[in-house]
Amino acid sequence: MKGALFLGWRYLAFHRFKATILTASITLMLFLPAATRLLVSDSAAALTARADQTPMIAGSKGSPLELALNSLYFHADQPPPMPFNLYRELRDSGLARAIPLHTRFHARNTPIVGTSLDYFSFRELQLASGRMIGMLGEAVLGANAAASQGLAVGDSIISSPETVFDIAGVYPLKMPIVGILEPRGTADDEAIFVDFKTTWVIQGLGHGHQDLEKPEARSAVLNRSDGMVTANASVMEFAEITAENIGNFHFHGANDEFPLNSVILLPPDEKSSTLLRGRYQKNDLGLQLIVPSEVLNALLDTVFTVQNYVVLGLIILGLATIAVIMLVFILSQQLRKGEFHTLSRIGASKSFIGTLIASEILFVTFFSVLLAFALTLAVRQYALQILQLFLSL
Amino acid sequence: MIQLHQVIFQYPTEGSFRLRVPDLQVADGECVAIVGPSGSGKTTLLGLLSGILGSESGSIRIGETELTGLDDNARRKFRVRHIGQVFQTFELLHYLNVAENVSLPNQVEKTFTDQQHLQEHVVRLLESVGLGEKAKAYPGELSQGEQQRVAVCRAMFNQPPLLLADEPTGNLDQANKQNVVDLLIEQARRNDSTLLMVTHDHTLLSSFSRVLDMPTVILQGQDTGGEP
Repeated sequence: MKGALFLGWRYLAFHRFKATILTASITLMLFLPAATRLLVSDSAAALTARADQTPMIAGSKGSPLELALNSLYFHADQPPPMPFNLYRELRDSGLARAIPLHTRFHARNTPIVGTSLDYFSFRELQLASGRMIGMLGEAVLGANAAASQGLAVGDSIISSPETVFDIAGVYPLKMPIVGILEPRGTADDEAIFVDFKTTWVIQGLGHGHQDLEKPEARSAVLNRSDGMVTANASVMEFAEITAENIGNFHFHGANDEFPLNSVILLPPDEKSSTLLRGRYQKNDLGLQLIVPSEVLNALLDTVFTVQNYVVLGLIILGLATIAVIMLVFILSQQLRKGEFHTLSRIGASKSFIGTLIASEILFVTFFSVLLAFALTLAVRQYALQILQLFLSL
Repeated sequence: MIQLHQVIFQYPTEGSFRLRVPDLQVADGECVAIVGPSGSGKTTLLGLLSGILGSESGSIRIGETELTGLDDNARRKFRVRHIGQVFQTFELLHYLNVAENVSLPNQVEKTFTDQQHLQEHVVRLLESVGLGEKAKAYPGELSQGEQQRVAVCRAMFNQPPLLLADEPTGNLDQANKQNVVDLLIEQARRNDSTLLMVTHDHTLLSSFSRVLDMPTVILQGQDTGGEP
């Protein structure tokens, strides 16, 4: 028995290339259907878990899926902006707690999430170090966002300009990091949180510059008339909001029209929820109200249907692979007739030769199953990240 | 002593070759060449002696063992332990190195359980044929002469009392033929083994103590050879 196993092992070791191809084929045949099912089911659970915790989202009319994914994961395509006054209306309706979200900007490819302090209590985010946002321009980082960039409380992070050559576009804003959050295993770990008004400063809707009333700014003033001051390009703009210069920051225009991406709505009860839907689901305000779990379940229904077709295809492919592998083994045994005849003449029994053939099949199958199992475990471990990668969540 | 008496063997196919050996004796330590035209039963005779083939009737006795009284499995075990075989095309396993090929009988039927002793034994065998340095080489890396020497070492692995060689020089050039015959005879003598070698090459017969002419063995039940 041991002798036959040894010979089987040595045969495979000598024919490494052939054995590797066989092992890889069987591994893929086992792994792909298992991984597809696991990936879909685990990821579906993870996806719906965050959606289930978010009762309702309001945003401008457009793709509900885009609105849900952007509001939950910050990475998806931007939904059309909604004006700030609609947030105020929702907030003041008394039917729900309203949490604004503005996720248009990034710093080093990490999303900057403009929101209010309510967001942290709603998502039960705890500080690992530092403090919460206390002032315009300050940032609190998710655990992974801080770790991956080697940032800590006391450091700063600069928002990325959207276009380098657009002089009227978004300018970089240096934001001091005042807190790092505990890891939660959600999209919050990957984000930079600021007050939503800070994102308006990044967008250029608000800015800060030297006081034009002071004598040292006299050379920068071109004209003063009817309380209006016109300055030239030499006026010093602030790229960072500090306790000293915050008084010089101001917004131009009516903030009613300032943009947000969405508003998370937390109705206290079913009645409020129904009233909200009744009032805002069909309206002339350009607003849509979605229940994220419903939107994601609709997506997952499609995913599950596709998954069934994919698994069916993989099973058919697997059966074809088995047929090819069997053919390879049978042809291999034909070619090795002489070798088995030699073994028989030396004194090997039929069971010895049978064990030798079986051992080769068993070794290949064993390593394939082991490899497929390890790969499936890895997929289980990283299911959410993989799905996020594919769906850009 | 090898003794065959009234042995009859026929292949299962109807009308196929039938071998009848009335009487044949080979003394211990003899080195015997078996000659004869193709189809005269030389290989069949070796098959009967090695126990690969079972005779229909008669008696085949090797030493104290009566082969005709053994079943297939017992004959197989006897073959591994007591009979060394060298084949015409060497028949080394291409995926085993030289040392592993030599110890192949030990994989089939364990005679060495101690790895250290096994390795020492293999090295001794290889050194005795001048291949001590080639233990890790694969058959594909050896010349034909070297491959045949490895095959001889494999046959000698269990120090068998009977060494059977079926045209081991058939694929070799003249110089290598004589070398292999000399090597077989030397190994047989060193081990006190009886050597029976089938050959078509009459130039090699002078090395043997006796020559068996197969048609004569079958027809008359006795050998016609003698001291060459």
